[in-house]
Order: sequence, then C-alpha cells, then structure tokens
Amino acid sequence: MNPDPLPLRVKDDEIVARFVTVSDWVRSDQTVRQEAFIPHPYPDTSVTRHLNLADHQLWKIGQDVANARAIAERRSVTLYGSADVKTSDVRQIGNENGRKLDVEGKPLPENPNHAAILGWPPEKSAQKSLALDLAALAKFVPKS
Amino acid sequence: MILKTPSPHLLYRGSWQTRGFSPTAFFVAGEAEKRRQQQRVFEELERVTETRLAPNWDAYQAEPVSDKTYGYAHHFLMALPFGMPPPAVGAEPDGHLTFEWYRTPHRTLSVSVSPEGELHYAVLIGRRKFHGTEPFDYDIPETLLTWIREVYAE
Repeated sequence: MNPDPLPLRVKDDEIVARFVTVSDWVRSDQTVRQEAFIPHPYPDTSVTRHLNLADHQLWKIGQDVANARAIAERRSVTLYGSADVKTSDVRQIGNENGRKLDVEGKPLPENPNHAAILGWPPEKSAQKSLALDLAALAKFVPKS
Repeated sequence: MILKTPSPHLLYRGSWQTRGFSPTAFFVAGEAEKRRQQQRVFEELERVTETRLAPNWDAYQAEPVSDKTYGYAHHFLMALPFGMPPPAVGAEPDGHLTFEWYRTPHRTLSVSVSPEGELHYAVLIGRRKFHGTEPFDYDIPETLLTWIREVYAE
C-alpha cells in the first residue's frame, strides 16, 4: 500500500473499481447491471481507486470487503471481480437538471484508496437512470 | 439359450416422435416455450429473494428484501401479458427487487419494485433516457409496456 496519502482530487484519467460481490450484477455477456452502482445506505457509491495499486493489492481490498460480509453471515462470500469506470466517464454523466456525478477521494484507515461517486439525486428513478449510464460505461474485470 | 433380438425398427423411435411441422404444432411449441420462460422467471424471483433475506447481502450494507416487496414483485410478474419477453431478476441495496429487459447496455429498461408498491423505472434507448415512478395497482402501467416493446424494437 502507498505510504503517502493520495490526493483527494481524483484525476480524470483515473480508474475506479466497484467491487462485484453479487453474481447477478454481471450479465452473461459480462456487461454490468445498474444494481451495482445504486447508492445505499449512504448517499454516495463506494469505490476504490486503482491509483498506485498492483492487481493483487486491489483484489486484497476487494476480498476484505467481501470478507466483511462473510464474517457477518458466517459463510464464504465470493468476490467476482470489479466494475471499472474511468473518472472522466463518471463526470460526464448527469441528469436533466445538468447536475453531474463526481468522484472524490474518501480514504479509510483500511483502504487509503477508497473514493466515492457522489452527486446522486434523491429520487429513486433518477438514481436508476444515472446508474444505467454508469453501468453502460463500466467494464467488468473478473478477479484474477 | 437363444435370445430374441427385436427388429431394429421397433427399437428406433427418433423419427416417430417429431414435434410436427404444421403451423398449429409450431404455435403450440412456441406457447409451451413461453410458459417455460415465464416459469423460469418465477423461479429466478424465488432464488434472488431467498439470497437477499439477510441484511448486508451485498457487503455494502444492503437491506433485506421484505415479504411485501416479494409479494408486489410476484404480482407484477403475474400481471405481465403472456408473450412479453421475460425479464432478468435482481435486487438493489435498498431492498427493492428489479426486473430488467436488456438488449444491449444502451438499450435497457430496469424496473424496481418497492415495498410500498411503487414501480421506479429507468430506460436507456441509445442516447434517449427516461425515468419515472408509477403506482402498481396489479396492472402493468401502459408506459412500461411501451418501453419493453421499445427495448426490443428493430
């Protein structure tokens, strides 16, 4: 992991990963469903920045996320992969009022690369509309 | 001891069990396939609901799917006109069940069923985007039927 804290400002060319912990978030053609990005219970969608992380470090963070659920449910939980999106793609997605989504660094003690997709509207259908856009631009990367 | 072997034409039955070639036979086979697809969606709804009954099922603190939500979702499926393309079933972290009609990532309709019996939908048709909320009164809103057809339109 990086000894130096990452800048909170996420650059346009950075890739952020939404860890896929539910198999049906990914369709049989390996495209991503909007369910993967719907924010809840927080108003933001939790993601992890790829910046300065080797693949095995990224998967370790994802596995820790899955393990948190595994411990709660006392069973093994699979990390299927990640839904990756480019920050500039996220920032071009907006609703009819012109408000765009954004990505901001939100480091956590256990994950200094943690970030959030923010700017979600409060209405459920409007959230779904933006999540559809995000999912259409996301690329599923199976866990290696 | 002499074993009597039956004549080969009595053992081979493949060509005698065709599904027929008449228009009626095709129609019946088509209807049967639609019913099988419909049954598979109900089974998928059961599976998705059963795996979302505990909190935090997504590792991001998701809420469980409630009995009420399942009930509305089941009625929603029952209300779909026979012959409509079958949706894929899913769930969202707020405990809503979802039905998705998908052709490509840019030609997709997603409908969420809430525990209050509301239908929140969003549709992407190329560059066109629409979203809204409809009450579910045990009939599929015409708006949604129109969007389902639009997703699969040539």
